[in-house]
Amino acid sequence: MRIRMTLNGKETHVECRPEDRLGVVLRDQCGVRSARMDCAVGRCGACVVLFEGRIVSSCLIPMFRAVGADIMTVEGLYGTQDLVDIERGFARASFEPCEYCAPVKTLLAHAIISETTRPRKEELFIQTQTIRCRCTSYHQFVEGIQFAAEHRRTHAGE
Amino acid sequence: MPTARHIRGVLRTRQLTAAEIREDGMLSVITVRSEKAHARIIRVRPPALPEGVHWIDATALSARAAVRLRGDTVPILAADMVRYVGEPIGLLVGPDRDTLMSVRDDVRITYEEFEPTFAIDAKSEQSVFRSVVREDGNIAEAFREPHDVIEQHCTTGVQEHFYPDPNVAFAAGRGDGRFEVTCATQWPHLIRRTVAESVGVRATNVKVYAVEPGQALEGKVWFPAIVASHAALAARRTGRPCLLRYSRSEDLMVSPKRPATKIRQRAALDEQGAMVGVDVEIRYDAGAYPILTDETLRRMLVAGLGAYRAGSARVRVSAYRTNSVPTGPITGIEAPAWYAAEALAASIVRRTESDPVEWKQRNVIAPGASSHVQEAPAEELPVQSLMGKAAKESDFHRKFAAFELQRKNRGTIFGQIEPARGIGIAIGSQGTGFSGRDEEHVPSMVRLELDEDGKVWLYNSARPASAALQATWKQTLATRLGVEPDSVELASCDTDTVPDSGPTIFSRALGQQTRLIEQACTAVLARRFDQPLPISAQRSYRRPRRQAWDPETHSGQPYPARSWAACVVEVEVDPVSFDALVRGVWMAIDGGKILDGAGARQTMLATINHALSWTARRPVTGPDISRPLEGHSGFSAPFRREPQSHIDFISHDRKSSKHPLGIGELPYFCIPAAFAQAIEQATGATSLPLPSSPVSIFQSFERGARGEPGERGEG
Repeated sequence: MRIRMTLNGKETHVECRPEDRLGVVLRDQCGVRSARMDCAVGRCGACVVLFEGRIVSSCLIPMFRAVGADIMTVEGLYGTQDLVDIERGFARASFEPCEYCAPVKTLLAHAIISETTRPRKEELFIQTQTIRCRCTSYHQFVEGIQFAAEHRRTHAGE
Repeated sequence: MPTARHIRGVLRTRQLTAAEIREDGMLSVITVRSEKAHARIIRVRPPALPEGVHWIDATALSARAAVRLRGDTVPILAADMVRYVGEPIGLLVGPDRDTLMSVRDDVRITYEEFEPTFAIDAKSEQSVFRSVVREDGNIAEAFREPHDVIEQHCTTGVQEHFYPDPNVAFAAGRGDGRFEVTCATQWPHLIRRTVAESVGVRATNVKVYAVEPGQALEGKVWFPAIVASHAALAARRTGRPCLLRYSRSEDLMVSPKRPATKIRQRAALDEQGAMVGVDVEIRYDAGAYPILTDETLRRMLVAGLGAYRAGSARVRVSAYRTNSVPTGPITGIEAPAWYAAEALAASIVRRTESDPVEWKQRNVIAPGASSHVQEAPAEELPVQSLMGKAAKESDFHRKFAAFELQRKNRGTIFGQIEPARGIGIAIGSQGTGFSGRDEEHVPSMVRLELDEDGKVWLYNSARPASAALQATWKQTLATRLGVEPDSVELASCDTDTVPDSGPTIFSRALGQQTRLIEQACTAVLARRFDQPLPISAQRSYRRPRRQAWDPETHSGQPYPARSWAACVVEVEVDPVSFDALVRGVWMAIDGGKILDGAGARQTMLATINHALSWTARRPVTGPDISRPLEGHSGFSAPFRREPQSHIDFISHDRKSSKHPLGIGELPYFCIPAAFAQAIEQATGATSLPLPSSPVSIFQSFERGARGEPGERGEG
């Protein structure tokens, strides 16, 4: 089947089977490299994307659910002030994830601070567990998001 | 501290993993595995293969095919015998992975089964693959008339690696008998050698591109050589590019882990509670194909008494060949030995009703004395000050006394409402580089080149997982050679370009490679104005003469350098659910010259979490490592309720402290013991299972309540 969706703000068409998983299609047909297929059962978080504004594991989304959907990956953040805020926040927290999980951790941070620029620490500890790469401490991830939110607030004039 | 620019480089990475490689005509490969733990293969009958699907078995291998590492070997494909569930027997190659999976269901294998063995106890002596024993002094004499004797057993479970990306290898023939292989590995030249021997070509005909392995936790030292060989065999058979990708559950099931151990200890004490004699027996499950056995035996042997002195000592370490998945080097390989040594110290402290800090400080190896392997520290070990610092920062003495009082006053934990608290303290040490004389025999080459354009090229294959350390290398070279950091390049990490620097294991990238880079830099500088550009220099490791190790008597200086740490863990245990919550971790570390404070802190925070996960979380595989307990559903965050950790780096005026030392494994050596002591104090249990769970904590509490001596055992 031919499916139309919006990927990082651009209308995109893909040829696939309805049961194909979004993560596989994004990688194989759309050149998205940030969402990695790891456990393929929605547990590790290596493949998360923003699907209709929500963080989801793209390995779980069948393509028939992606018809007309608005999808964002970290590639959609390139060149934006939002990404600069996150980079600065992570640097302030000395938070340096590995190259394997860095893209999805960035996207998760963006999703959280797009929801609220004053995220609560207790909630962040739960939200950050979405991505289960053990390269860094969750404390530093949480701190990095808080600093990023601070930069975002500054730019928003809050 | 990393800059925003540096973070940008990481976040916007375009690094390709092997799983993402796509080439025209590329085929998929899947592995057909043994269903039996110990059997002879009578017949393998693949079904009628669909068009374009190929079957490969051991007959395709060249005669020398095997992973060969320091005298140990692991087969690439089983030819006659299978020795563990999941051992590779054959490969299916074809254009569609789903088709291959259905074909695999129809492969019929007939076996003649034998009784498998998973035991590593005294009754299984015939399974001992190799062992070492070191006796220092007269152990029989020490036990003749002791004031007191303590005897105990410890068992520890396997440790999963939990690296982020499952194993993947891509291989393609490039004509003229040449092959190209891409995979995540900690030792690309081992892959090259193994692939060449598997497909029967010269090593120079194989080019391996090493993809950054991320936090490999030593899980990608030798195992990717098997995966890459399978992909290369498929590429040779089909003449097409081939990709072999493990699923997460397949990877967890068959990749190597830290071995399970059983440790028996007996200590003879004098009136002051000092150890006049210690007899330690360490047995570990080396799996079906023991690998890096000598290194593992030696590291366990050296750590057998921790950092404590004894009048006489005997330590015996045995590697058992069982029908478990091959184990192998993994971060903190000798952690079980450290745990047991600290557990023995804790038992002595309890028996003699001593203050733990005071007993440990009194019984640590003193300057001028030597350990049971005759390791004689030329300088005072930094243990005293590290323990003092960790105790002070954590308010250990006050809390320890308060928690003791709480436990004694309340009696049993049953019927209580408030959580019970406990605190423990332990010490540990990490040797940088291979132990004994092995570092001399493992490649370590580093090459540096200053070219005509003023660019500096660093050629080495032992790349650290940490981008921060790579940045530090670049900064060091730029500063020393007087060029801009942007002018320093790390050469492409492929085996045609970079020399064999050995594996990135035992903190070699930080400790050894950094020093070799500095030495090569000095050599380039010395010729900077005498020779025209380009100037190049290369350096390999040479063990200093004063660091002698006798492999016959197992004595001498076991490591080129050591880092040290003391740690305190505070816990609270819910009296109803017996759920343990880590309230805080305090670590004081002597890690030598700290090149990047923020990076070192990040490493420690992550590793503390890993060590806690090994301590307080069940492995995902069964006791015999034959079957996953929970499959990939067990692949969860290492320690969901991450505690607050406080880390202090302390610099001592030691000769070895002038250089960077490996610190990433230190938490594995001291946190489990400190955690166990804290739980025991909180609950009054006489023993703690490791890894522990609320159920096993409750069981050990019950044993304590019944007055049974208990055994430090697996939960």
